[in-house]
Amino acid sequence: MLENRAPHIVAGDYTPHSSVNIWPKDLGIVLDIAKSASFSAPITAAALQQFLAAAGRSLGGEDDAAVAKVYARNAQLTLPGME
Amino acid sequence: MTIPQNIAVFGLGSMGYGVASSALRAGHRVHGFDVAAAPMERFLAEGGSSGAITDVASTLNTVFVVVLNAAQTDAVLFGDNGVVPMLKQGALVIACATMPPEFAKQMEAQCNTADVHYLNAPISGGSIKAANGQLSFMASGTPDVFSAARPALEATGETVLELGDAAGAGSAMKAVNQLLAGVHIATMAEALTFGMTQGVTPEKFVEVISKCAGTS
Repeated sequence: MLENRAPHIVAGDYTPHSSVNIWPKDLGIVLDIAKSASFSAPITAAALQQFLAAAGRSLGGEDDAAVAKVYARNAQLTLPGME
Repeated sequence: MTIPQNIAVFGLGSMGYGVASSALRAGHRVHGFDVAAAPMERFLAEGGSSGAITDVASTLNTVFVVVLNAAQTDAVLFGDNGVVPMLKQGALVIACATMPPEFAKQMEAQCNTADVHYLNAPISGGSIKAANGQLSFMASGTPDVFSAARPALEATGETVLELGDAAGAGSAMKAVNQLLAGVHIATMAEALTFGMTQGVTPEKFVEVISKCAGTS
């Protein structure tokens, strides 16, 4: 996933091949299944929150690599293409 | 030589559109349906077959359902104007959405009650592989269902991972895959931006980490 998605950040190209919005949905399904199995999945839960934060910043329709924009904003970093 | 089938694809989003185009390219007659008019018109212009679902359902061999989730799958199959009651006996539903395994089992049981085959077949690969007919199917269903599904799967997929003889197993594996894929994307973003705080540029990050153990 790193080799597929990180180049999108380098290029500053967030054309949605797979969008941010997929992940609150799919990781939500994972957590629903986990809950029904009494299985704790803390790393999945943390990832879901970051995608939700991205969706909350109106990045839901962008490529899922745009989750990096949440980290960049929190740390006051400037990603490629955002100068 | 492909024996042409009559196929319907419900959901012409980034994945479904690719499934529909690939089936068309393989020589099948393909009807594309979506809640939005624009992708349906585009697919018709590219050679898709026309006709309302109520008119064509009884001719279909295979129905792909490439929607977002369990609720939409249920609506397409069994909601108002749901397609399953209109299908002929022995027709096949290939359900590609990510959904809980228990829900997939329920869909299979309801299809079987209507004498319709059901393949639990979540997909992986992204929109580009979908467009090229190179998807991976994480599929489960009876041997009869797999055999009925072969022409449609060959037209649209490169890899069919056969995970069991009943619905549920495909969805379970898809959930495992999505856990990893989602966590990996978020972790990549965390590591890339963490690196930036230490002077590691995104370019260097990709160049170096893709050759090291931390890659994914």
